[in-house]
Amino acid sequence: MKMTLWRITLLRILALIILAVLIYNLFQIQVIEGEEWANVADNNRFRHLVELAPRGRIYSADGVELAASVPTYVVALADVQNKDRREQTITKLAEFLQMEPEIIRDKLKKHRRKFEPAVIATNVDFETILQLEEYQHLMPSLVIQVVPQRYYPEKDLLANPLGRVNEIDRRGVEGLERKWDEYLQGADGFSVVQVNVDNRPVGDAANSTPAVPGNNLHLTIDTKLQKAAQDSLHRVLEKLRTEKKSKDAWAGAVVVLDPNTGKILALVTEPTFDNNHRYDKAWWKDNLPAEMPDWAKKLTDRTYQYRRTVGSTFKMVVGMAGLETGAITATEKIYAGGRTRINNQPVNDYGFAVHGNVDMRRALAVSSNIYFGTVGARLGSEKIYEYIEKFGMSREQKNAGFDDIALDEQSSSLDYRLGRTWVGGNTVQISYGQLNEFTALQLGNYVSMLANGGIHYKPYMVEKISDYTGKTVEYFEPEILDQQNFKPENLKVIREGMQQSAARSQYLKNLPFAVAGKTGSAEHDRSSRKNLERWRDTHSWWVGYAPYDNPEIAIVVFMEYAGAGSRSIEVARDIIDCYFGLEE
Amino acid sequence: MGKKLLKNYDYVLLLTIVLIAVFGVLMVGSSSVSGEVTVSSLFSSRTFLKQLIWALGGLAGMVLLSFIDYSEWQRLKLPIYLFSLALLILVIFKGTSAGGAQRWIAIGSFFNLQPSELAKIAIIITLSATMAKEGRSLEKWTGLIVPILHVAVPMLVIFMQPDLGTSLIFVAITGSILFVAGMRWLHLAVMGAGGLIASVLAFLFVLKPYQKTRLIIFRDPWQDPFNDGWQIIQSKVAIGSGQFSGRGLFKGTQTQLDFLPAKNTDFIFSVIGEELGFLGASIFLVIYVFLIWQILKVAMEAKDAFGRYLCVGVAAMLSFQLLVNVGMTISIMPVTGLPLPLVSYGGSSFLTTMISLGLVLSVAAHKDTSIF
Repeated sequence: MKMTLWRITLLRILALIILAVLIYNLFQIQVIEGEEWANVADNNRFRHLVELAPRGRIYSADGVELAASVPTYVVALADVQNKDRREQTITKLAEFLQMEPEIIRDKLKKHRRKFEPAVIATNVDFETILQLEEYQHLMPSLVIQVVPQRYYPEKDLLANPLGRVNEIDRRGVEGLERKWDEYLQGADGFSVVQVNVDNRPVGDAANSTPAVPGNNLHLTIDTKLQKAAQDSLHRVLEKLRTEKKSKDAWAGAVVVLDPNTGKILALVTEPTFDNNHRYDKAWWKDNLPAEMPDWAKKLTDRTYQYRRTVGSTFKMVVGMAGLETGAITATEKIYAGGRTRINNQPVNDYGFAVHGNVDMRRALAVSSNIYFGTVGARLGSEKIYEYIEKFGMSREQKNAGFDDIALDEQSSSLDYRLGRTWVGGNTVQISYGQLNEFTALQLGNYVSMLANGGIHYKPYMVEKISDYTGKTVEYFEPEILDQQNFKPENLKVIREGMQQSAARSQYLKNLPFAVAGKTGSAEHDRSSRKNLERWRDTHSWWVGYAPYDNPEIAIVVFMEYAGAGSRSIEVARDIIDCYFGLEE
Repeated sequence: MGKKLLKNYDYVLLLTIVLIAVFGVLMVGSSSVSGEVTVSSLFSSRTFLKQLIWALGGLAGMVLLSFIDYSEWQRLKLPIYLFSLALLILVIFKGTSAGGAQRWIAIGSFFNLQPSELAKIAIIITLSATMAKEGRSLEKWTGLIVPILHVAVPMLVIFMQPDLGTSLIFVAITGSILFVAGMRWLHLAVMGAGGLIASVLAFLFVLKPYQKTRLIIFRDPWQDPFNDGWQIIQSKVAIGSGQFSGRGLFKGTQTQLDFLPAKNTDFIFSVIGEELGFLGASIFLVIYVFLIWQILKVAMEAKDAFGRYLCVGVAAMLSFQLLVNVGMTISIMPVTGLPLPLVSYGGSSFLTTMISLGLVLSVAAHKDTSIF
């Protein structure tokens, strides 16, 4: 009997040991590892859903949508641990998407962030999405996400400055998209949804932050003008090629500014491309003429990312410098006899034409290199560079202070002094626009300053930022960067010279107002003259403003390797006609 | 007899049983109601109501059974043994299968009888009766033959179903009764070693692949987290996330969002762990072991060997199931599909437990007071 009781006591102790073992293990799991397991439980039951913010739109001044945000559909699968449910979803989904189930399995396997759904297919068409939604109950772990995508409805209009958005992280990486990314981005929404084992949401989303669409940019660009300039430039270049006037007339640029504010009204580069296919090699190949040479077929914007010698359009800088410093008077005449040497530099006027004794006005009208070479030599290079700076064309200030596009995406002028030994002949050459190189936008500001009397407005194209409800968030007033106290009588002389120059052009006849302008036929690669194969015509430039009395627009037309500057005036006329509503 | 019976009645034991049973019903309710648990949603849950009815009926039956002198059953040894064996064989031919095993006989639509559950109590009664027989001695090897054969027959049948867990309960019951009946240590050691060798051999050559996988996966459930390891992981997640004080009754996320499989049957302890935390789960375990402790106290005070063996058998059954079931939920034991007596949802299990506890209460009520 005693032995029996003792053995039962042993069994009781055994029961206590069981208790101790169980409690010890519970302590281990619940108290020591408890927090870890609680996290696992949360991952089990929470789905982190991201609602992507639609990117802000970009509008032109006349309200045309230049950059839109369109929804695209992404099919994803949430992490489901039950094998049967997973397999069922995969099999069905593979059927709808016409994919191999193995590919889906592979994508799931590679997906690391388990609490986020794994993307199976992007850009799924709407028809398929409708089908998937109808049969969603057969695919318990299916998640359909809406991903806003950038779309440029106007395709090739302003393609280059608009820039690009990286499709993966949806950040602006070029152009306006990059510079204004912070505004355009918006804020993604987040929601944490509690789901049950079937991946069905249970109750309301805990912790939900709705997406805030990005702010919209409103540009100063007038699409009507932009389009007219673009079409005209394209047409004229094509005409020059087909009429065999210039075999290399493929590229060019147009800048139209409001000289009274610095607003950029049109910014055209040619050739242009559909911005929805910016880096789509196949598109470029299929949509641009096969015979277009590679040097023309590039993404560079020829208004603010490209510099070239500007030829005689530069002469007003030297003219203003000469008058302001007293190096020459408006009435002093210099003999232009076709050809001469100044500072040991051979100089000739276009076609060796003999203009006789010319004063400032006449010299501008006939574009005498001999006259301006002489004035330049009197001024000396330092004075000329001083006036280059006064006209906002210094190398240090890219594109006259334009900063709506990041500065590292812009080009600046070429200062011929740098890294070279200066000789007296160089002073003469730069006086009629050789050696130094400038951008079209720099010329735009310079001609605006001639039009407005010396005010250097910052060129800008973003005028307003509004939020998604349409409320204005920021408004950018015109900004004066610098102001020159040019003597009005000196300005008047230069303007009159420009007016006389413009009056000579067949393209500027029959206008209800006078126009001021100056052509430029810029020589470039001097060595190529000897090599006929590589010989290319001069760059054709025209700068001007209209109307002469009361300037409303400043225009720069640039046609690369297109020959005489006078050819550019045809484009300028189309712009003037469009702006002032003079088309038939 | 009435007065003496009421005087001897073990009210502490009764109270402990009622406490655990009521708690069990509550936990079954928590794990069966989907969505927010309220009084009305509880009472509209069929599972909860069924368990409540079983609990009330079972408790009443238990008390009734406790008034009958347990000695009566000793004489019914043979019929009980044969009836239980017959049911076990019947289930092989007419049973309902689930999870690769034939374990149930459907009785109406309300009740699925699990003969292996009833066999446990049948074995406790009949083995106790066998061992309590005058002149039985375990001094020699030969004394072990009859009791072992007695248990081996139904156990083998259950093992063939296959129901590994329940057949192992038989080992625990038999071992404990023989131990208390005076089995020699040497014999115990030899049989223990023999059992170990037999287990290894059985594991290698007899078990079906699914049983093998289930047996070892608990050591590393992440091997196959979506299938065999799923239950174990989800259970551990549930219990672990309960942390010290639990998520609160009816508020376990693993439970309420259905991540936990078999949460109202085999994995009911995971619900306790998640919702009541270490604190609640430990108190529960202490009370449960206290019940076993009290049953063994009744064994010590029993007036005869039959009563003593009965209590030891019941205590062994409860201890083994507690260890294996709770051990399974915290992955220190393999998944065997054994319910937690008194707590897990299921009629057969509840019925068996109530009968066995009724017998224990009867032993307590009919004890020889002259011991004191």
